[in-house]
Amino acid sequence: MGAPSTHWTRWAEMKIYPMSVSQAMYEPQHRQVIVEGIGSVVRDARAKLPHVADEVEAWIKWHSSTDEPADYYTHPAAFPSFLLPWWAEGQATGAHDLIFQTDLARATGNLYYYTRIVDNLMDNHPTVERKLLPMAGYLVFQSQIHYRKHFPDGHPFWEWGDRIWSSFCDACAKDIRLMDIDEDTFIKIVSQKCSGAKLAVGAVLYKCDRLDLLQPWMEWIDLYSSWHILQEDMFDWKPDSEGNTPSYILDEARRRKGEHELLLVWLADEGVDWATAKLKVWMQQLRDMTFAPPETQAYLRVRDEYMLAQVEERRPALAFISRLAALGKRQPQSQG
Amino acid sequence: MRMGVGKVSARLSADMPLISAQVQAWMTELAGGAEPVAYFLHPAAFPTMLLPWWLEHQLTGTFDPGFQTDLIFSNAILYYYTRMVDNVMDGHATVDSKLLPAAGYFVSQGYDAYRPWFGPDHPFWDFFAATWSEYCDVTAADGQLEDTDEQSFTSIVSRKVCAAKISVAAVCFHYEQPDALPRWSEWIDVFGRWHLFQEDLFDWQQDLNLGVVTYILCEARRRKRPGELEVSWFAREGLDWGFEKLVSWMRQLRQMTFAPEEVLAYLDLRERDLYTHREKIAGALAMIRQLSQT
Repeated sequence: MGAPSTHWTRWAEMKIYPMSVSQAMYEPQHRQVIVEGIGSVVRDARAKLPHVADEVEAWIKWHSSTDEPADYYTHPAAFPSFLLPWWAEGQATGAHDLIFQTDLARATGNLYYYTRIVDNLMDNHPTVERKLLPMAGYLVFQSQIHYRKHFPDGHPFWEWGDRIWSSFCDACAKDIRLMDIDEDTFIKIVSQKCSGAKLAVGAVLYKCDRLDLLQPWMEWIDLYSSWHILQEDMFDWKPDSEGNTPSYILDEARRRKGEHELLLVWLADEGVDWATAKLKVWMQQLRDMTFAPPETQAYLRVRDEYMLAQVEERRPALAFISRLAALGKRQPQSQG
Repeated sequence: MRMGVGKVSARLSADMPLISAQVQAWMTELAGGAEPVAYFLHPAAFPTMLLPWWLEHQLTGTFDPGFQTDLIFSNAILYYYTRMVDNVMDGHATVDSKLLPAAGYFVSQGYDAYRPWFGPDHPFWDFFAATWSEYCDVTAADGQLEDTDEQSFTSIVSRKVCAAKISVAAVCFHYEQPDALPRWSEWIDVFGRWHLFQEDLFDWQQDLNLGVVTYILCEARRRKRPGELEVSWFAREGLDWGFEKLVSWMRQLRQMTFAPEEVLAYLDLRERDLYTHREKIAGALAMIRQLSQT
């Protein structure tokens, strides 16, 4: 194996996830499927988009910071879009159809890049994305044609899949308009931004005729999405606040903090504890979903441990801020 | 038309309960406050809706209302996708960018509309896939152009209308006459040049202010005298130069004798509007010419 990539070096330097974590999460055969699936996104762009293929390829590689675009998807903090259909098929059949899994990886990769273009534009950080926006339609179409190979017209997968896709687009469009996020809107709308990941899992279950697992897996994805997005929002409170990006934790801060209390002080005093308590409840609910295969339990344990480790890393700074704020509150009295 | 475009609203209400009202308000706004269908009936619009209608009538002497409704639905919803993307790319659309996630829904609906009419292995799908990729490719490439000449206008800019070929291909394949497709594709290519160029010719001032790269503005930069203003070049020779181009493309279109009578009547109408528009601005340009000379 060659030297670790820049991307992995960065993660390692941050002491968040050692490279071995990803290696444990993704079996070599599965990683190969993802490399092939994402590689085909780039190859298809080369073949079908002669005028902008260079820009598209550069943008795709920029995400991974390496020459291997799949690295972006296999880092342990990524949403497990590629792991989910792998787990589901392993559970449903005890094996993996590598051709089918590669098509799912292609579909998921195209869909993810579509989401990235649209999200980045809506988050007001667009540079390249504005110019690449016309690729959105191409990526959506490419995502769908890989499902068509496995499900003929009229197959019940389509009725289900169309509904999931419409709800996903609907929730994403609504999310950007939300002015105030509470728990209800977070669960019903914000966390549905990850619901595109349901498509590949549903495809597995329809193909393997295991519809008895469909509802439990959809609930798992809904709950995990809530966990995933809230912990991201908790760590990203600063850029979100500076960029006026609404989030559940920022809106909760506005509701809960004192009139003149700084956001940072609320986070240090109680906000982080409030969020980690929520995360703990959702994580426990996920662990109680006993239908899910053992790999998901191992995955959840890793994600939870690292989330808590990141919180612990910040504890001294949070405690310092709390002490400082408390001192500030006491000072006028002692002076008086 | 009303049924096909109306179906867009009906589907939105059923499929996107959270955001449907905002998307439909945007569609009404595009139509100037009227019914969304009014937007597509505007005489200066690209004839995306007319093309499959003309062709089906030419091939069969009649119309299949169910088929035409689905073609119009697909054309309308893909047009909304195009409009949304264009507006966000232009950077002037605050409302549109918030609706952007609906774009993915538009694409899948535009594609799904053809599924009842063509089996999974039908050659129509290869045409759809190739044409849709070409449309996305040239639209993205167009957004990156910093200079446009005749070659890039013909091979990139004017090909942004190529998505209109999809519903034309659907008619050809549905009636098992794929041989008709190449000549209609060529008609769309040439009419696309005429249509987009005449828009650029009359919108040059707005485009100049907004910094939009168009063929005619790039040509103005290349051809105007040192220190000459674009407006002076337009008055001195630019409008005539532009009209020569339009006349030549219109001649090509009229030589395509396969096209039915309705197409020729349509071209007459578009050309008449063009000359009316020219008359309207002729006085102002003559004054500018005089001022430039003094």
